[in-house]
Amino acid sequence: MLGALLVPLALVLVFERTAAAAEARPAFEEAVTAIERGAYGDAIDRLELLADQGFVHPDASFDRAVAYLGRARSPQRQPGDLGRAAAALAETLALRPDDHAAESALEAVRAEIGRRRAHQGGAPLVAKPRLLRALVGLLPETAWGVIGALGSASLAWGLALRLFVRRTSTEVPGALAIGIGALLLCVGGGLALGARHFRKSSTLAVVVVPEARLLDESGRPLPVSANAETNVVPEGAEVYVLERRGALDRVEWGTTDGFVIAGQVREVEQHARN
Amino acid sequence: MSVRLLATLVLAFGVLLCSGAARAQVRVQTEIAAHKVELGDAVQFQITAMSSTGEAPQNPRLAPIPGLSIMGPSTGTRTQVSINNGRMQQESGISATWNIQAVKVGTYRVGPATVDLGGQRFQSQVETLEVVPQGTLPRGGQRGGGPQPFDPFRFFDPFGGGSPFPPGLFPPGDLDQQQELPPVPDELKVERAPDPIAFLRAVVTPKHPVVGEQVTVRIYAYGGRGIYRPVNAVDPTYPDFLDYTGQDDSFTENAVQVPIGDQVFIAQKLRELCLFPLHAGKLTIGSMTLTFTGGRYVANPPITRSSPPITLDVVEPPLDNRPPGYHVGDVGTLELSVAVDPRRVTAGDTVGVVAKLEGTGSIPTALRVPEQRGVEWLDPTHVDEVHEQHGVVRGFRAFTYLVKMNEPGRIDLGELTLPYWDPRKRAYATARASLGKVEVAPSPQKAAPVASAAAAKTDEPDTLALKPRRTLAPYGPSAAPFTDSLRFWYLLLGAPVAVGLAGVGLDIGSRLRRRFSSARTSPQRLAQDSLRAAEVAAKGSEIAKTAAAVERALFLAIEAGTGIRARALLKDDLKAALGGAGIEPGTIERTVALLDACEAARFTGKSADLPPKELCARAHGLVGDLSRKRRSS
Repeated sequence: MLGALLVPLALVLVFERTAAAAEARPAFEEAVTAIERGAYGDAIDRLELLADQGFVHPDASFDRAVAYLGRARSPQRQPGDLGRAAAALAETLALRPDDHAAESALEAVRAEIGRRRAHQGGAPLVAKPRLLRALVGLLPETAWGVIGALGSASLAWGLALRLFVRRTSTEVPGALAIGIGALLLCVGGGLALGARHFRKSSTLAVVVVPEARLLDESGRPLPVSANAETNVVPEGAEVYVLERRGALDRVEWGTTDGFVIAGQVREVEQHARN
Repeated sequence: MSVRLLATLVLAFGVLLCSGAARAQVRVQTEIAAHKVELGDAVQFQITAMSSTGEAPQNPRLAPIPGLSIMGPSTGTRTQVSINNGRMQQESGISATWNIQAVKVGTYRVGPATVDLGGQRFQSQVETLEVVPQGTLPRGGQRGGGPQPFDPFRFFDPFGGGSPFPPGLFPPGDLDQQQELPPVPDELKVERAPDPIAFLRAVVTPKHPVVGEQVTVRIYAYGGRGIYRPVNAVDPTYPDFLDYTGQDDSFTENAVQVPIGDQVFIAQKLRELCLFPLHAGKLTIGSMTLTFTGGRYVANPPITRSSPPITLDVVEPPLDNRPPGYHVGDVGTLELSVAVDPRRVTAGDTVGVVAKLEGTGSIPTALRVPEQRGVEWLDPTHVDEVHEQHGVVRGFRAFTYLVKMNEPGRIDLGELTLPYWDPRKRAYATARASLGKVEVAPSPQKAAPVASAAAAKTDEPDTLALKPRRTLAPYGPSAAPFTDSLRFWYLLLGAPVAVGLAGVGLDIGSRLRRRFSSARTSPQRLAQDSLRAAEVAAKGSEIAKTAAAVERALFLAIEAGTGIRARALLKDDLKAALGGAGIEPGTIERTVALLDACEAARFTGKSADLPPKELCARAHGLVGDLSRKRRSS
């Protein structure tokens, strides 16, 4: 019964996505042509309009990055072009994690930003994340979920041996299964829950201005404290947007929380919009 | 010299002739409601300017007079048709009325008021107005706006009330109400007055603007106690808007009488703000505050009123059909023109492009330039002239670009564009201007360094020079992770919990089962069963069966209470064993006696001393006593 409902729904979704891609294709091709003739501004306008209209595709994001990089290297360069390129590449990777070209391009863009900042004596691009976020980030959320599921199964098996098969020969395997299962369940389940919480409560974003100053709730610059070596987030840095308050976004950068002006960061699309 | 003098004289004559002809075309009549008023009273001064040219005079003006407060004018149009000597003559014109309030004692010359027609100015007559201290004039006398003494020679207004009938002959609201008030401009009309003394009113158009669309806010003051002086004005705040309001504050002179219900208010426009919302959302325009003073407006406490704040729901123009390169905020009606010079250059030189963007709205500050390889657009310089004109912001911005032509050939520069939202059509439009072609001659001097630089650059790999992807590869958007499903979490925690609960449940069940089965075979239970069998047998008067069942019940009760298997013991041994088990001697004696009776009855088959029912009755009491648990001996 459930399958009978889900199959048509899946077909409708696939059809909608195909139709959206068909609608977006002419604009995408015009943007590619614009990049090839060096009209990076035109290409950016077209690809940004596609994104505004809800079209999300890793190749469109990649080409947007190419257009921003092209403009950043042309006389028409605008402040923040490299940051926007980094945001577009981060989006490509979020949508297609195995895109190695995007991964190496993102590294190159970050290296270029870091090189430019080093010339100016700016803060480093990467900040140490919080311990829990770092732990959660060691593996994908689904991997933590699988570990938790294995732990659950092991724990259940061990309990079954201890409770239902009362033989001396099953006592040791049962106890081992219970111990290992409980450990895996706690670690895997807990970190999967943490990853889910972070995914639901924060959004990855990239700074798209040369520098984004961290502010307090009233818009005043945050003081530099022992926890935060600097109150300036550099271009291309990844932050997590926790909430939006008016024209300000509350962000987490490393171990520091603060507000930035909303237009200074660009949120990275994690999934295609439907 | 004489020729010049002659020409001057001819010109002067011509001017005089023309002005005389024009003067004959405009007839200006002057009227003042009273020539003598008390201090603080108001009087109306009206001119009527009629023209036979078919064009009505305009711009009625009355110069300020120290000692008098002049408000207005309120103007109205008039048309008059007359037939003179068989010829029909049509005149059109205006009437302008000023309210003049006396603020200082003295005698004043009021006028001349002027009107303009065809580039010439025409004057009215001068009237005199004497202002006397309060209480000087008799009540009902010749006061400003009040009734005048009876004058039989004024046939149409002998009573001075603007009516041929004495005041009071007709009820008020009939002829009195028909007394001519100047026409009220639509923008000042109000159906109901929220405050009978004074109030401020703010009107905004449009009510649902998009970001960057002009929003006009008009604020009006209404006074219900006659003429007033607006003081201590506090302007509204609007931090989310760009202000293009002009600096002209001449609105304060245009006070008019506005009937609202049964009351006549003096109304005037205080402000006309031309604002542009800077972003989407619910944006607020604050209140304006004003104090009404003078005349019948008391000073203590001051009559201060505020306009209500206005909240606008500002949205962005729709995403559907949005052209590429549209920037939110580019709104108006725009035209783009362009000039390119020179059209022939050498590679490496620049051409100048001057683009003029003009129209209504705040006029965007950037254009979309047609980029291409070999053509480098340098940052433009601006010349702007954008200002408010008759309530509409309009003007132009001129952009001057220098375009560097790096590659030789006949280069088509393309076109400058600017997509914008047209609020009148509620649709997007694009202002375009084609730039045409430029002949770029090769420059041999500059080719060599460029080539060498290119060669030098190729030595190091450029990791940022990416190729665009030409096609949209198949892409399956990743499904939401399974950790989003509640079922996963139920299963994750539920599996071990379910196994554990099942194990515990099984253990409890087996224990219960054991306890239940042991309860069913316990001596106490069997003793009760035997008692019931005895009662059944007793009902059938079967003495042998009754006795056997009672005997069995007693033995089982002894076993339940003491653990002693009494059937295997002799009677004396039984007494001793029961005594040792803590059973009371009386109970022991009764037990042994009942056992003896049962034995006798069982063997003889007769009830010697005790009938079956009596056996059962005695056994009941003894089984209860014997089956109570006792400490084991």
